[in-house]
Amino acid sequence: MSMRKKIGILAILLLTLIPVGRWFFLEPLNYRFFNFIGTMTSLGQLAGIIGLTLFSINLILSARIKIIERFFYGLNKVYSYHHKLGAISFALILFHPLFLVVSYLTVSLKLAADFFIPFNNIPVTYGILSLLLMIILMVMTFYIQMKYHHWKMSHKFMVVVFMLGLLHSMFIPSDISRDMFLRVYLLGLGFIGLALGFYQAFLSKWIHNNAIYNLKKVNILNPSVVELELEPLKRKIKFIPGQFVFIRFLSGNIKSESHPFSISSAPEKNNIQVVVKSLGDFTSDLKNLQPGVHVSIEGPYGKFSHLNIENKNQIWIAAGVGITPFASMARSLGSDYKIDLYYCTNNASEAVLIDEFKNIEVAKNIRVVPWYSSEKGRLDAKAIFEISTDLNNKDILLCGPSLFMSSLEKQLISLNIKRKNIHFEDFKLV
Amino acid sequence: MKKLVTISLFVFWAVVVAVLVAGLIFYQNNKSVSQVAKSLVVNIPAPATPVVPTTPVAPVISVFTLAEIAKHNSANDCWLLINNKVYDVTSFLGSHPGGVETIIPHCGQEATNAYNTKDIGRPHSARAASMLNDYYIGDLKK
Repeated sequence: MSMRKKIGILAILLLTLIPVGRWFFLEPLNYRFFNFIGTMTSLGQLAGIIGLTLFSINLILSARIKIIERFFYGLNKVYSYHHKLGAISFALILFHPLFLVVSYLTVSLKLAADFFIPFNNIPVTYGILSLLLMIILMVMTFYIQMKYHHWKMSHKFMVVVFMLGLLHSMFIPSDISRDMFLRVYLLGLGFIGLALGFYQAFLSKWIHNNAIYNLKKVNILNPSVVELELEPLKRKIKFIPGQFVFIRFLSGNIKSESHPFSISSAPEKNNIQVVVKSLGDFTSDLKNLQPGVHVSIEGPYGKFSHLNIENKNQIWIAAGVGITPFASMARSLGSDYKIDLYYCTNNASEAVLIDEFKNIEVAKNIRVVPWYSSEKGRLDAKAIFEISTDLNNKDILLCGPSLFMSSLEKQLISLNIKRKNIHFEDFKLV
Repeated sequence: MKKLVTISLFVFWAVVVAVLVAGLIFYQNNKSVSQVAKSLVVNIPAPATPVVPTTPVAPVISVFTLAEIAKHNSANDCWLLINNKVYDVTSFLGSHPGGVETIIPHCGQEATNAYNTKDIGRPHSARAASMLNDYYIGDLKK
């Protein structure tokens, strides 16, 4: 199991080391690093090669491919790597021209300044335009609070950034233009990334094999939480409890990007249900939906499930709408499981599914512990120890806001719970 | 990750702005400085004779024999003979966009043809020619 989780990251390392290794053996290293300028130029080339490779990999990661999800053990992990690799690749690509400009600086300042000015030289211009657009998009991602669908729209243009970057790397005189292996490898990987990235960004909306469902019912559970019930028109998706899907509305008065939602119903039911809390514009709009609207469902994704954990003695901790995956798990729970469920909300009125859990509690081997922070304060590891006891023999599943989960994880680890026995569902997907 | 992105962006813009400002705004100064530097290089090997204003002296240009040039035939000391002019490109080797290994075989030798054709039948750009000028150290002894 733990090895399987590492396949993804090992594959990334290998895919990156291949071109780097080739570069190192192309010429004797004392030629490459024999003086300061040579060293700077070599570092610039390396930064470019690694940055380009990671960028290609990142586009491949963004395409939500099932087999890649399996290598990383969950789509949210894939996205978390996508986020990290994106930042690393961006940093390397920023340093790429900085290292290279050193050699021009030794000749003249004028020449160095020319190096940063576009339209002097076509391949360099591709690089400059690519980098400028990338800077704009990365600033949007890291520093500007944008509406999700605006950000998502802007981020699609990373494909354009990549295309310009790839042209730059192929046409600039360098080791890539001189060495057939590097050329074929980077062009091949880049082309795969470009094709998948382009598909994900611009075509997946039109060409896909998503299941089409009909919105059957909108249950308003409380002023900010709704439950949607969806029935399959033809194909029904197969999922295991705890997984999530991307839902996109095909009609009705609502923005048409896909959004991730955990399924709250049991897999054996014909219809699926999702519980949605209004956070952004999109989720607030959901309340106004009318039955009869068609939706496209992509997935399922995710590895967060009691079924993926060998130990059947588990503690589930949910905060707010993080209860959703647990609802699906509880509704389909086998009799051989023994579960303590902590359901954390501010107060009783926010604990929207509590009545149903009380019913399940009677029928199944599950103990429900409602935790209202307005009465008892934040749930902490000490309280969990007192109520559930013997935590070392149990696996702990957490779903809620990331701050809530990371704080509990820290506390649990400080009480000697092993990290491998703590499982998360990162609800905030990028 | 955000920290990494912030630091990289900061360094990037700091360097780019510094180079652009220095290179473009001080272009004029810069140009005269480099011309002075070039004339210094050309004159260094000449005997240090005080300039006598009354007798105009033709600029002294260093001249080298083929045997002298041939001594500078390594990555650590590389001279090229191009169109009867001698260039010391040692400090440039690492930054040659076409790679260091394309120059090394020509160190200490006549490289006009290699320079004109890049060994693949394509000429260097005007920009390359202007860069080459910065490494000019003298002429071939006729």
